[in-house]
Amino acid sequence: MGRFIVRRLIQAALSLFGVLTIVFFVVRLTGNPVRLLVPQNASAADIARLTHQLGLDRPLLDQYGTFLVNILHGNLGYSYVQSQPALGIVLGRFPNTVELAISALCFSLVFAIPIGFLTAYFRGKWIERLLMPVVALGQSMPAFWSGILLVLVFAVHWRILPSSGQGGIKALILPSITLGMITLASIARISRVSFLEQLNKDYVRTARTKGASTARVMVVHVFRNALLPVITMVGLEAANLLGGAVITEEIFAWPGIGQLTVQSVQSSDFPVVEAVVLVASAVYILTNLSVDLLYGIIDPRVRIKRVGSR
Amino acid sequence: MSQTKVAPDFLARSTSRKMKAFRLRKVLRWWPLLIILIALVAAAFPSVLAPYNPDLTNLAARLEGPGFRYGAQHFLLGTDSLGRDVLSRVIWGVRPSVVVAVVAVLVAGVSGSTLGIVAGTIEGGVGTIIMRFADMVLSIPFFLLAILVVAALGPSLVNVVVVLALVRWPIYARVAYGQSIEVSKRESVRSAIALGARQWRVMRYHILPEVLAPLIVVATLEVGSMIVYEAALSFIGLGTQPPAPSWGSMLSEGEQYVSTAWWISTFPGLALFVLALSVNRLGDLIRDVLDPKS
Repeated sequence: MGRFIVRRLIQAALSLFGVLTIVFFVVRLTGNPVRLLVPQNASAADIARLTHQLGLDRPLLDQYGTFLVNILHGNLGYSYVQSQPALGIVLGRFPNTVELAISALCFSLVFAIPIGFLTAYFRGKWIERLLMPVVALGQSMPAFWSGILLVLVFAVHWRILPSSGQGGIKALILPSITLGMITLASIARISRVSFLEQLNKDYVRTARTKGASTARVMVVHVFRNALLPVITMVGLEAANLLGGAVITEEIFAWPGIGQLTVQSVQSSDFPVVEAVVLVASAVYILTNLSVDLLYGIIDPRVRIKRVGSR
Repeated sequence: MSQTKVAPDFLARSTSRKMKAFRLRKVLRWWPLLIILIALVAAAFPSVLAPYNPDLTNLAARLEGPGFRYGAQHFLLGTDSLGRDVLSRVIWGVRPSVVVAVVAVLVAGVSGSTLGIVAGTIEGGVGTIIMRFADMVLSIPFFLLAILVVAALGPSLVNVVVVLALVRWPIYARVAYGQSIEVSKRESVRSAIALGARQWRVMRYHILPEVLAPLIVVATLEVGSMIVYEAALSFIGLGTQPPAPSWGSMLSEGEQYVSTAWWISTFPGLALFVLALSVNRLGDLIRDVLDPKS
């Protein structure tokens, strides 16, 4: 177990380092950010002075070193627009996105797991034929359209839920459904496959022949085993949630990092966009790390296999 | 005697009817192809299909609902805030979606598959480095990465293609890698190497044909996602630039008028949804054909 944790920690650290490197070079290689900072009519001398002042005329590797050292100090640069540390701005908005993402995840799990179970248990029956097309529809539904439709129906037509902003459970409902729809279909599919696999296992038949009731076999035996792959899927879907949050927050004026991203892009506030990407990637990597570790604890086969396969 | 004659005849007729129904259902399953064909025609010849010029503004016919008539003009799906015909804009909007999705998938698919096959065939350092790099790219929430890159490069359709290819190649690399590791262990490939075939020859003639099927499935499903992501980037103002019509920017404009003019956002959204759904269904169908086991 110890070796498994260490290996996984090193992997996560490497990923994080890779993300930093990719983000740094992407931003530096795509042009001089100074041009975006100065007014349109700035002279070449002004640009050169500011470039020098920001250290942007030094060799790329030199800048990269400074960048890494700064990050170790928790310094992700200053926002061009708000003149505050970019990291602080992002972290200030982050709890709102977490609130939305968790509530969206709950929404999608509450629907996805029963759908996965029903379509597996009643394979070939009308329930499956009814639910599978719904899953297929959900998979192709772009978040920004479903979001607008939800606003149209619940906020404009029936006027029972607010169309935007934050505050109270009511304001959370529509954004959570919009964001949750993105992951619902894929989690439903994974849990269906997983339930199908478990339902055909020998232990299910054994439990039945021993006289256990259907409900007991399902709850005690099948669910426990079938939900393991679903946990991994939830970790992987975290990236989709963070990406989908950009669109969802923009539609519902939800003050999280997604809305911040769009605002920062529109005002060319690169340090903030950079900080958003770095923070989101770190969260994503850490989520998957903890999912993997959790998985190793729940299912001993995982850690034995991974260490043994070296 | 006559009864024994009737029975098989009756049976034969009923089975042939059943067979016909079965065949019909088999053909009807391919409905996504019809929609994709329509989309391709619309992308190639939008000016033929669209009733009006998509950029023609008419301030006397602003924000009018579906079916509105203005003189001899008939706006089937209504007009937007500048009095432009929504139907014509939806039809013209097919082009950026289809072009971006197809080109991005081709670029990402070819480069990602090549890297994956190389990594899976050549054992040792190179392969590990390629796949580690792929893992790193995959560990960045890719939509945020795409936003960062387009924002840095400047918004344009070409940059959207570049960005989508840059963030999606690892998907293909992973599939190609996993498959080619398995294939390269096969007897046939080993004997080819033992007979002195060069590495590129092994990859091209022995590995590629074997790993192509799953890659085609992944690529088709990716076209569906890329259509949605192009629209998403246009929605936040990083893709197609107004006034050029695109579904994403129409949705973003329509969102502002959602309480007064529902048709501006509903129809481009519907078009996007139907096209994405068709492409995804096509991907599932191709998978069923290529891999009947699953």
